[in-house]
Parts: sequence; structure tokens; C-alpha cells
Amino acid sequence: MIGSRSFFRWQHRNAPYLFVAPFVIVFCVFGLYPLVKSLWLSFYITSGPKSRIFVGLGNFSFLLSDPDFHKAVWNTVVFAFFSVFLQLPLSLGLALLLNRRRLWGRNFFRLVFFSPHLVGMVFVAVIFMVIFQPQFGLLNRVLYEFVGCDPSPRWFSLVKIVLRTVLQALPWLYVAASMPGFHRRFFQGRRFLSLSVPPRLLLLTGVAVLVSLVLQPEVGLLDHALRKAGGFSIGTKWLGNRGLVMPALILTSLWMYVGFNMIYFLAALQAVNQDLYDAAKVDGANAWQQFLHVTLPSIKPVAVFVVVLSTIGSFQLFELPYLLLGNSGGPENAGLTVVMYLFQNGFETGDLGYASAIGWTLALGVLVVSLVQMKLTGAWKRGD
Amino acid sequence: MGRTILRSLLYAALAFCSLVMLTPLVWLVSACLKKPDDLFSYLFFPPLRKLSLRNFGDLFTEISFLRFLMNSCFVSGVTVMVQLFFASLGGFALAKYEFRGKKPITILMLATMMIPGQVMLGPLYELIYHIGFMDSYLGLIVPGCVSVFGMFLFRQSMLQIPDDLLEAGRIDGCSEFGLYWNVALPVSRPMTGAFCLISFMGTWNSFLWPQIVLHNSQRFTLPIALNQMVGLYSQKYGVLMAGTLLSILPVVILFFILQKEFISGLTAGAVKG
Repeated sequence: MIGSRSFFRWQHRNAPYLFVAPFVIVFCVFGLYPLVKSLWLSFYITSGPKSRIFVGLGNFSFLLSDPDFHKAVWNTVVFAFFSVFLQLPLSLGLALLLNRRRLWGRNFFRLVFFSPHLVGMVFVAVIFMVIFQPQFGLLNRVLYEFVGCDPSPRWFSLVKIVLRTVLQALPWLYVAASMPGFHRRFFQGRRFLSLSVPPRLLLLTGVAVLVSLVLQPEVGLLDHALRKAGGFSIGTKWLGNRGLVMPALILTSLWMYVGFNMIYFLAALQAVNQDLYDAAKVDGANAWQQFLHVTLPSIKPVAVFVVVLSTIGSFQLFELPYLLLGNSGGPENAGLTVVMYLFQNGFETGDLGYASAIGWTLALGVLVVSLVQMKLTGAWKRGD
Repeated sequence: MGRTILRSLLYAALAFCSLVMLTPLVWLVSACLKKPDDLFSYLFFPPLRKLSLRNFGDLFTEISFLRFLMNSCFVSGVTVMVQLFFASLGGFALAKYEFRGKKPITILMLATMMIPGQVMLGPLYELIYHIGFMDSYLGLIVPGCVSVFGMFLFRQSMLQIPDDLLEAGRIDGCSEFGLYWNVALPVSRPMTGAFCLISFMGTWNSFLWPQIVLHNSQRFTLPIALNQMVGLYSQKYGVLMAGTLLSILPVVILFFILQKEFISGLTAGAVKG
């Protein structure tokens, strides 16, 4: 009886230690110890588990002059840049589209946009390896049939023409639709017509004109660029061409992550206080001003979180180029990333010391970049 | 008028984006169902009479795909279970107890979360080599069974458990572990679902570490096996695609079971700050 009571007191006193113990022990052995060891190891040149020569900061100074490492860093930074500045605006755009009130099928679209993320990166790489194939790959065939410089079937030219016409007509349709508003403003005579054009209309018109200009046949930017690049052909080797490797990687990761990041933005948008919009409307703010002064500040914490998260993620890119390009990193190392270089050195050459030095340089880079991002966006002061 | 146009534009944009997002997946399914000769003759699905399941048949007869599937299931299943147990238990302690060393532990773990995992790849390899876990499932499961992220996830959700509830349990003679098992775990059920899926996706798809640890092809998990198939069966795209489809399927099924919890768990940390 007394034994059981003292056990009860004992387990009450020690419960938290017992609860964290399994986690902490495994964490220390398989997390903390390797971490500290790798810092130590980065001062050595090793080959295999046995031989090891102390070189001090030699590994790091060698990194500074290692052209392959420079190439890897450059590739990784380019990839991260596009992940943030191409992918995230698109994610936000999709989230804004889905955030409309009374949107039929929101859950369906959300699921569709998110679905690529269910496919693990290795499997994505296998799928896209075939999609990027020259001659037969899906991408080349779709491009060939829609924007190809090569003569394409007549009915596809027709589709292209229709697409272009619709794009060009869009802004004018929109102008027509908002005509009554124009009339009212114009006849009240408060402003000159050209000044009363709301900025979002200008923006929309601008974008539509720009896109249709880019898509123009022969003289359009796309066709021009394609001709400059030696012409698009169905035999384009996306993974065998120095200039196309990075676009291929960016495209694949765009497909994978655009919907994933959208989930965060959408959750943030739905948490924005609706009263703020009402207040803004009372003050006469248009949609663009509402977005700028209500939406953006409200979702800022989440936006910073997503930016930092996707930067860190892109710095660790490995599986995609490793599977798509093989461990060599593609033609002229065009797809070599920092983690790939680490893997090459550590587990193919067998120099774990140099690999650890690469790892710590990467960690330092990630830390500096995320701190700068948080500082620039002002999230630093709030302490998250 | 303007509203209607805007609305149809919105749906057109959404439909277009959905189409783009779904195309690779639809193509994947179509590629599995085509005979090797037809793979590139049709962009997507061939006529109905030319559909075949031969790729799946080849997958199980020519390659020991079932073996890889079982390996992956075993490794992922065990890792998720252990991760779940350790993370929720630790999270409970961090959320609901005051003890010496709590703060240093928290700070230490948060700090290591900032460091990319690849840093420790080398020494971890050495460690696993010396312990003798090389080329075994233990080498995958043991280092992978702690998730700092998971622990903070559980800490966050268990903070909401009222102390009075735990105190009442203690007065009724419930042990501390009993409180965890009967109160804390059931209360954080949605978080458990979310964490299970996140953790399952992580281990199921993990490639770099298994690639380093596993050598014997009998023990390969699906990502490693598929990577090997890319080299060996580079011309048999249909079989490769069938393997890919079957590798994705378990995650998809689990996602549909846990969908609701998953989305809320994913964004919980971000939105609430």
C-alpha cells in the first residue's frame, strides 16, 4: 500500500523527465552528436572512416576557390530566387482567386492545386524525366502543338488565333462592362477621363496587351526568343541542354509547390478580419488599394513564413536534379546543387570532412539569408 | 453584367490552372495503361480496346515490386509510430509540466531546426557504420524516429488542455502516463492525424538517407528501387510509370482519410504564429 503511494509520488515528480527522455536521448545521439561532430570533421580531410588529416580551415578556404562549388552555389541561388519570386506570387494569385466569397467548388480546386504535393519528389522526378524526353515527351509535344515554330496542324493554328483574340479582347470587354461607371464619373466632370481610369483596369489591360504581344506569331517575343535560341523543335533536350536544365528544374518545382504554398496563403486570407475590408470600402478604397493596404499587411506574418520556408527548402534541393540529371549534375554542371555537391564529395569521393565543410557553409548561407529576409520584411522585431 | 463576365473569367482561370496541374498526373495514369508500343503513339489515352494492364503485371513478375512496397510500408509504418509516440510524449511534457532543463532543451531543439539536416550526413554515416546499422532497417528507423517539428506541433496543441482537467485526473488516482494516454492524446486527435500524414509523407518519400544506408537491393525502399529502375529499365517507360503510380497511391489514400486534419495541421503553426 505504502509502496504504491510512494510510487505514485515518484512517478508524479519524475514524469516530465521520463516523458522527454526517449526523445532527448535519441535526439542527442543521432541529432546533436553528428551535428557537433560534423563541425569538428570539417577541419579534416578524410578518406573512408579510417584516415583523417587535420587541415584547419583548409576545407573552407578551398571551397572559396573551388569552381564546381561556385557553380553549385550559383545554381542553387538561381533556383531559390525563382522559387520565391516566380512561385510565391503565383501561389498568392491562386489563393486570391480561391478566396472569393460564394465560390462554387472551392474545395475541389484547392484539392486539385494541392495534389502534386502528394507525389514525393523522387516520384515527381521520375514522371518529369519522361515528360521532358525529346521527340516523345509530353512537354515537347504540347509546346510543339501550341506554340511551335514548326508548321503545326491547321486546327491548332485556329485554336491559337482564338486564344490570342480572346486575350486581346479581354480588356475591351472589361472597359465596356464598367462603362456606366465611367459615364457617371465623366459627366460629373470632376476628373478628366484618362485620370479616372482605375489602376486595376490599367493593370489588367497592360497585362493582357503584354501577353498577347508576347504570343504574337513571328514578331512576338516568344517566337523571337525561340528563334534566337536556335528554334524550338520537338527534339529539344530539356535535360541535355545547358541553358534549359535550370528552366526544367524550376518548372518542375513550380508544378510541385505552387499549390502547397497556396494552402498557407489561403488560410491566411481566410483569417483576415472582414471588418477591415468594410472599413476600407467605406473609405472608398478600390480592390487594388484594399489588397495593398488591408490584405497584404494582414497576411504578412504568413507570407514571411512561406518565403523563409521555401527559401530554406530550395537551398536543400537534391532529389530532383539527382534523378533528372544523374549524379554528374547535367551538362557542364548546369544542374549541380550544393547538396548534390555535398553528396558527391562525401559519398562518392569519400571525403566526409570536405562534405561537412560544404554542409556548414550551406547552413551558414541558409541562416544569413533567412535572417536578412526577416529583417527586410520587418518580422524580426516581432520575434517570430 | 460586369460581375458575370468577371465571374466567368474567374472560373475560366481556375479551370485552366486545374488543367495544367492535372495534366502530368493524368498523363501518368494514361502511360501506365498503354502497351509499350503505344506509349508515344497517343498523347494521352489510347482507344479503349488498346488499354492494357500488362505494365502492372510486368512490375510484379519481372521486378520484385511487392517486396519494395512491403519494405517501404514497414519502414514508414514503424517510423511514423515511433515518431508519433516520442513526439507526443515529449510535447506533452513541454506543454504541461515545469521541470529543470525545459528551457535549454526547447532552445537547443529550435536552434537545430534551423540547421539543414544534410550537415550531419557525414558523421551520422560514420556513427551508423560503427554501430553496425549499415544496410539494415534499423539504420533508417532509429535516426529517423525523432521529429523536433512534431514535438513542437504537439506541444502547441497540448497547451490548450486545461490544467484543472489534469489535476482532476490526478485526484482520481490517474498516473501521469495515464493522463497522457487518456487525456492528452485523445484531445489532440486532429493534430495526431495531421502529424501522421506529414511524417508518413516524409519517410515514404525520403531518398537521400536510404540511398546512403541501403546497399542490398532486397531491402530497398520504393524511392531507391525506382531510382535503380530508372537506370535498368530506361526504355520500359510503361513499367516505370506503373511503379511510380503504385508508389504514390498509399500517400494519396492516406491523404483522403486524413485530409481535414492535414490542412488544419499544416497551417496551424503558420497562421496562429
